[in-house]
Amino acid sequence: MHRHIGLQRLGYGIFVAFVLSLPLFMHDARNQLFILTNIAVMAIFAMSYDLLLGYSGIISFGHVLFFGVGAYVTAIMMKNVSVSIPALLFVLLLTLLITAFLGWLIGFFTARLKSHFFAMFTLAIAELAAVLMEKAKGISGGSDGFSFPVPSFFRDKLTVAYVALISTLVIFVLLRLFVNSPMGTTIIGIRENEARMRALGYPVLRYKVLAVMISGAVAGFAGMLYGVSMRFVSVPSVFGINLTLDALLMTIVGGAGTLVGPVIGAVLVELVSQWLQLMAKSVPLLERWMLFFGLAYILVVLFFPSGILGGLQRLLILWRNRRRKAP
Amino acid sequence: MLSQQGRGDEVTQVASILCTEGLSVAFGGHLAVDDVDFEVPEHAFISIIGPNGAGKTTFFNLLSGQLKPTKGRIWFRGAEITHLPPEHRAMLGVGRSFQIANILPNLTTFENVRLAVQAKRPERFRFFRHHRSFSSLNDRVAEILGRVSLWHKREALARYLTHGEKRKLEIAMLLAMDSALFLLDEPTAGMSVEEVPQILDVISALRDERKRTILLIEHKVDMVLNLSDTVAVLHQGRLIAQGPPQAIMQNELVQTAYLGGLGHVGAS
Repeated sequence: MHRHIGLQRLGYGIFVAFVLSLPLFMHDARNQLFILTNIAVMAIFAMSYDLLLGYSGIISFGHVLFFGVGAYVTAIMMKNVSVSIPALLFVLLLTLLITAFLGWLIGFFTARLKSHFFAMFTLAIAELAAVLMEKAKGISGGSDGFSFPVPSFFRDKLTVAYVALISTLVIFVLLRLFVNSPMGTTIIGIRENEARMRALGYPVLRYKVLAVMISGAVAGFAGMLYGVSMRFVSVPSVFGINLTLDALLMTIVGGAGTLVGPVIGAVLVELVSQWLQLMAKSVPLLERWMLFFGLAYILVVLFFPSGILGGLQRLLILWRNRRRKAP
Repeated sequence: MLSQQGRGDEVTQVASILCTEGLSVAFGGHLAVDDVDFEVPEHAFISIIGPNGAGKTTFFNLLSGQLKPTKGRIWFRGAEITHLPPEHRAMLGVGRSFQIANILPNLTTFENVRLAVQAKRPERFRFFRHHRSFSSLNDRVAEILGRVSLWHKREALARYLTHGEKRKLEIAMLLAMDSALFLLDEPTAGMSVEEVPQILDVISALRDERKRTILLIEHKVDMVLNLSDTVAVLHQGRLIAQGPPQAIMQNELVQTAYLGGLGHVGAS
């Protein structure tokens, strides 16, 4: 048992070293650092989504709201207030506070709703926010958006890639500790059987609101990171519903309720979409690359309902059983 | 609270832990529980019997808060709980097991019980340390799982347990809640013959401790007779009789309503 844990730790160590060395092997000619950063941002966003979908059993179609708020808080502060590292730290604090508060507000008023109503409600709120931001062109720049400066430290693509990768690792570890803690397991219990958890004495609503708040804050952080790496925001790029759908796709493809799954999903979806867009130049059919995602999504849901991780786990069990049966 | 209500000529003055007054609930036009005045002295063991559809489980659902009454009031330890949600009642000390196994299907047996233990402990607020690293919780879970002999199944997912094992898990979760009042809804229903005695042992051990108040819904009349201080009979939502087991078995009203005139049951 102890040896097993030791090996596991070694495995983690090697993996972390590998991930952190990735930027060193990349040269900027083909935007690899940019793609890597984007993967990290989406991985964080997808992990925050998994906390709701996989761990709390809450389906949200409006998760992009938090992402957009994070991105816009960063953009507006950097453009209008001050461009400095302390200002950015203040932005971080502000983003976490605002998104957690929004999470509380939304959670408090809607978490008592049944799952599909909650999904619809969140969709409505996020779309409303998008429309409002679109109308408030003076602040948001609307569809055209605006670009803004960031502290010089973050102007280097390699630095940004490192910040994004390290953030992904740190958030992964923090979320993992949380879902394995007594409080996190309570949230999992609520996913399993809400009525039973109430009968045991758990104030279910409070825990659900907490899950929405944490998830929202992490998504807000992802949005902030997106803003810093892009130095540009527009309403469609940070409030578009397609971002929520991306997070949903990544979580489902990778395996909901695992935290590793969304990261794998983010890597896969981002890489494949980049590759398909590249291929589209020679194969015209691939211009409709979104179509392939739709197809992949349907196939995953039909054949790997627990995602790639769940599918692999099942194959492993099958293989072990077969080996055990064989003489 | 002190009660001075008497039944017939006996006037009792005992501290009652639970008390209902005119408790009724209607589904559509049908009165599932009809004007029930019920009182449970502290540390008593009371069985509720009655034919199918008599409203026994519905009555429990009213007591533990899964259902809201259309009329009437409920007191627990002198405080009114009529309008409290189930989680508040659970925290106050109303523990409940369910007739249809109501478990957390994709979690292990251990985790099911651990969450039940954790519910009232300060550890529930911890959000950083691993949930299996609290020996205060683990020891208690181990003790309870041993008591209902589910320890060997501790790492099995609850949904893969047999029906009888799920019933045991229900009881384990109830024990884990460490409540002052236990509402046991047909704990042995659907268990195999070999499993029943063990659960009966657990229940009678609880009874002999005399630390808790136990309300038991049960179909097996002989079992009820041996354990109960008092037997209450529900029929078509009404509480038609209440008293010592032997007296209830000889009660004519009860025999016609529930036992169908089986005079020998009381002697069996």
